Amino acid sequence: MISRRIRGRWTPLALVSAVSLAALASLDIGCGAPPRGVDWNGKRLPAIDMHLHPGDWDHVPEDTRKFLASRFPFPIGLDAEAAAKGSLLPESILGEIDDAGIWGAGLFAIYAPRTVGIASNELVAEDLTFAPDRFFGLASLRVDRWTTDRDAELDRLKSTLSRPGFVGIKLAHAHQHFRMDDPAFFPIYEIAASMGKPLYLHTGTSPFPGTSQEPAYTDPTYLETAIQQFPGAKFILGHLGYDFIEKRHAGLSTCIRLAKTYSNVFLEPSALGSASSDPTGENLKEAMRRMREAGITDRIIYGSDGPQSPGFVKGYLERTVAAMKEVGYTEQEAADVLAGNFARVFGVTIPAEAAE
Amino acid sequence: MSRGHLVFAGALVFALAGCINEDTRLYEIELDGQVAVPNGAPSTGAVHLEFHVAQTFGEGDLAHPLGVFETRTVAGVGPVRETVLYPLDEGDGLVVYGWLDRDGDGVLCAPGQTEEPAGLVKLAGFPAHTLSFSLSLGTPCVGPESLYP
Repeated sequence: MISRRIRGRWTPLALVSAVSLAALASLDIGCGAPPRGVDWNGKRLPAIDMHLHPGDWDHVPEDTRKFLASRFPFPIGLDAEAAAKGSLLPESILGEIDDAGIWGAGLFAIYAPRTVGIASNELVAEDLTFAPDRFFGLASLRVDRWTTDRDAELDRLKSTLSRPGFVGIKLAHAHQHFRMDDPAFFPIYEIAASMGKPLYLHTGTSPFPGTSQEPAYTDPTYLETAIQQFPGAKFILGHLGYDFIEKRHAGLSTCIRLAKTYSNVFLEPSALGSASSDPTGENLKEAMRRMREAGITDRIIYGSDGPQSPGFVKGYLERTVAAMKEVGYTEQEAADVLAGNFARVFGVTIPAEAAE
Repeated sequence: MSRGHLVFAGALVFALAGCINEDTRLYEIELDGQVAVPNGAPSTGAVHLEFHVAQTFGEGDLAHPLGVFETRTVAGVGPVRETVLYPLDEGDGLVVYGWLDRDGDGVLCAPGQTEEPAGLVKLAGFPAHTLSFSLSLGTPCVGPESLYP
């Protein structure tokens, strides 16, 4: 008798649940891969994140490992080393951009043994094979023994840039410790110009231990001589000269001036708008607003500076899209920033499946 | 709180203290130097000095030349006497880099300024508690990376 009552009471509920689950399944809002692209008022726009760091945890200096571990959110930070090692792998990066709906990603090599460590050209070349249609490599070189190894390093850079999948060059004067205006290093820009490979340059200060924080290593003003002298080289000024120590704009006006003055200057607003570097979100919004008011949305190339921690890539894209919407970007302007400008500058064709 | 809890709490405090208090072995060096500019070159202005490890102990590819561990500013060219604490576990060798702040802005060759000379010297005789050096500031607008190795 009791069991019949119970059965009698639960059967409708079970039916309702089954019908609800079926309805949900038919709406395709389950655990499948999220759709590609960014939703912009109902239309999907392709997105490319030009600034992602693959790597090898063992090639990160000890001080920097501690610094990075301290920045992982709880509870990931409890085993930061394992989390960091995993996040730097190509399959993990691909997973992060898939979760964010991003189609393509720039993978940076870097040789900064005193600060952020080494992600070699060889490592990036290997990672590119993991998703050759969606990963784009930016090669780099050692500059810390320039007086003795210059020619060999430049030859290695040229050789790497000739390999499939390498579309540009990554430099970070502050992390690699060389002045932005030192002509001894101008042969790098010469290679960028002659081989048609855009340069990505970290600008602004940096929280990493051992960084050269002086103006000649961080202030984009010091790049102007090189920008003038190598009009055939495309200079992408990363982070908009942001002051990551004081968490405020420092080089934004200079970056905008350089982009307005020189047709070979492009701007990339990565990292400065993260929750830790811009807690209120106002600085990223201000940057996106001022660049639009200056009429240079055709020079902005989206990047996040991920993967950092799980979900960062997606979160940064959401913050950037929200900032653009709030300050009045049009659909075309947003499309340019998110992928169009990257495609034009690096000569990449965006397939239809990048946003569907 | 049980005795077990107290023991655990105590062990945790000691473990954390162990993590925080990493020993740094510092080696005191008294430096007796002479800073100069080439004959006839302007010499007014403060001199900014950087003391670098010549070569760090980084593992494999992470080893690199230079690594600043102290900075000082002295009134001008001429004799210099400074005491520095060298981080023994960071590397080997001692390099002194300096530049002349001719316009007094504290920045080596700000845009438009092209006449601030720099120089670098690797000290012989390291390690020793007393060392002497002679530093000539003759190359305008360069960082230490362009002068060493």
